[in-house]
Amino acid sequence: MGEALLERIALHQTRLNTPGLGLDSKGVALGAKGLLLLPSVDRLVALLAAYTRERSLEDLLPALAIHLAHSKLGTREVVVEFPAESSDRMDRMADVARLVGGFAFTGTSRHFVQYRDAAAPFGYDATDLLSTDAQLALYHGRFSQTYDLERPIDLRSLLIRIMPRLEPGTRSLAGPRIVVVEPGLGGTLVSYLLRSGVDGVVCMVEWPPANAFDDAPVRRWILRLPSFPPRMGSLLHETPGLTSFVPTATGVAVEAGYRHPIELQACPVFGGGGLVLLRGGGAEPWVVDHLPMLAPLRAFARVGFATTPGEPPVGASVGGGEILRVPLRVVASGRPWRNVTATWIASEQLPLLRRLAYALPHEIVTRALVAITPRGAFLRSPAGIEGFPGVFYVEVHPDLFVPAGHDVTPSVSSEALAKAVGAPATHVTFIGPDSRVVAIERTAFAPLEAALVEAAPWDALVAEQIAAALDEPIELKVTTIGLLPMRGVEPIPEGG
Amino acid sequence: MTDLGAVAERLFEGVMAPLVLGGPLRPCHAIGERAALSLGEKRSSSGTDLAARVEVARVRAVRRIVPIDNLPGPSAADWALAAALNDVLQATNPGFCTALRRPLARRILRLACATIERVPPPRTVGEAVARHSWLARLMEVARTDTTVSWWTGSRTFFGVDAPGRLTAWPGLRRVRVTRTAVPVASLQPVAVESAAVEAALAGILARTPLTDVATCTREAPRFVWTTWTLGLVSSRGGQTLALRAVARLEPSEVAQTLERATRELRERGGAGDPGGAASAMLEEWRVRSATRARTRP
Repeated sequence: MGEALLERIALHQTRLNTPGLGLDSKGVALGAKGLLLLPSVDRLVALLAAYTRERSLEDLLPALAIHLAHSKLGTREVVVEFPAESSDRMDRMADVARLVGGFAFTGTSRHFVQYRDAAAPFGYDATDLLSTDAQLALYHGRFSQTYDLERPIDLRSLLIRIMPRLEPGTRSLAGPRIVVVEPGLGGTLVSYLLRSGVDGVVCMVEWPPANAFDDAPVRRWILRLPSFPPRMGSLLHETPGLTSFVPTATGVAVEAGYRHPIELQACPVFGGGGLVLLRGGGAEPWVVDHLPMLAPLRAFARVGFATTPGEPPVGASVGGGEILRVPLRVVASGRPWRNVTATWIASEQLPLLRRLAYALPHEIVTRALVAITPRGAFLRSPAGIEGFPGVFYVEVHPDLFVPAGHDVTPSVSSEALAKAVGAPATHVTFIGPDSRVVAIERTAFAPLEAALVEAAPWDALVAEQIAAALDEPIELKVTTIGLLPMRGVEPIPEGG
Repeated sequence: MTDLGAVAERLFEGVMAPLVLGGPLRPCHAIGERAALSLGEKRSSSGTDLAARVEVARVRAVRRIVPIDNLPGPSAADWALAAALNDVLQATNPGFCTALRRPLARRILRLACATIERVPPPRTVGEAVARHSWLARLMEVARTDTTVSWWTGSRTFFGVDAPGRLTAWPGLRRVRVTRTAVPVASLQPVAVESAAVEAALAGILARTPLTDVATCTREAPRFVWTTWTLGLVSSRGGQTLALRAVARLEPSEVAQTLERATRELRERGGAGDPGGAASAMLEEWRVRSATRARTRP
């Protein structure tokens, strides 16, 4: 370190010794570039963290250069070069550099003098320039030193290498998430999100094998969710095989539960179609150079094919309300079963009902009503229908039934549903699991006990006599033995 | 020469049909061993209204324990057993209770027992069911004895109605009529020993093992395991039918009877219960009765 070669610039001073150094409109000595000298990389990180908290690096980035420099004494320090542009920018950079233990300089090519401070409001000028071949000659009030640039430091690589800090609070943040899913869980998670009505996009990303012993690429699902229900927080954050990231800027996201020391939103070095996923806990970040095409989650929904490709009628006039009408759908529901008072037994299951008829309790048989239709038997019992087989139905409205465990969508009231179905009041209406509506005349329901018993195969009069006879006592009547009670009473002849 | 056709007709109308349908059972003239064993040869009872009603009633009766729709007509063994029963009942006729006729009653009863001895047991469960359809109500046969008492005396009529002259002016003559149903095994007075009547009835029951088991709680003759009842319950189907039949009786009495009979069977030793059929029947009955008691509301 050489002795100080600086002098304060006086008011209205116009001549300066340092090449490339000039005065701006305020009279402050300013070169084309600004330069920050930082003792180590962690000071550099601190500088970036402090600066990006309120300012973006966007305007600096085009000409920003970070190098590792070494002096003749062998020390390695970090040099940040950027366009000085104005004393305002230089003031901000100098303040932050001072905060993190660095020094601010200004100059144009090789010679940089100390930027102004409170002791020299117009800055400093070098009285004697160092004669050197070094790439940088820095003149400070306490030292003058030459530096050679050893290697550049790429800001993007630096940001990727910085490990995020633990901050569990970021898990509870609402908003978008990027979820990386191991291959075995991808399909299941996508189905679950679809069922839960969570929208998003998904793609499959490949990485090269982790080492030479693996010959297959590493594949993972990447899901981008604009939002998610709070109840899924534990699922997305705590399920092994699922890693959730909070997007912090375009092309970069930090694992939920961690926070990057630098405000990445102020560092527009990511993007370009790639994605960087910064993981916590010391894990290597996942870097995707080019993100594959993202497909909507809806593309993975189960599809059905119409049995008859019906074309909608063309040219049919519709009223204003018809435009809004959508077909009725019956979807599975997790709601508890209540008021299950009807069942539909398909024609092929009727033999089972006939066999069960012998085992059904008296109360169930006497209370049940049955209607036999070409599509099977419909049974109703206000006391409950659990004793019968078939598809159970819930009475959601008088004489209107929907399958138990199902809901009708659009989710309308039972009155509106009954009105929409439009069955006459004399009919009992069943909405099947396939959304087909069946209406049966109420008079078609007859007592089950009358339908179960077959007609007696013999004459009714005889049957009554027999039934009575089986209970009639047998009364032994004493008859006369006659004059010759032994007439005709003979044993078997000998040898007979 | 005895007209077997006429005898069979009287026997069917007087004994066999009432034994199935209920109502007054009127034994006919004593038949004897020879005629009894000849009655079933090429004999058919069908073709009459009474026979049709009897057939239907037999089916209805056995459907209480087995779901069948057809039963064969009376076999030769059925005719012979019915004739023997007729003679046993005839031997209990109070008309024989005179010094000169008492030996005749004994002879009729002895020939009836001889007839029973010649009747083979049922060879199959189906035959046992068919025979049971005729004799299922054997132990329900009872004679109504009417005792008429008035201000100066009383008189008992065995199995016949009291004449109207004795019951006339009941208020003035202070007439009191008492009717008592006497089971067939306890008839008194009889011209023969009561034990002999019981033995004859036991012989008939032994030839219809399903009836024997189905009426096991009777007072007399006491139920004992015989070769034929053991043969019935040793088969799976026979045991099932027997269990269904006794299910209609009082469970506690059935348990006591079967335990006693099984204990006596073990004490007898010898022929005993080689296959353990009686014990198996008893165990199965205990299991079923316990299950039924648990499921009964």
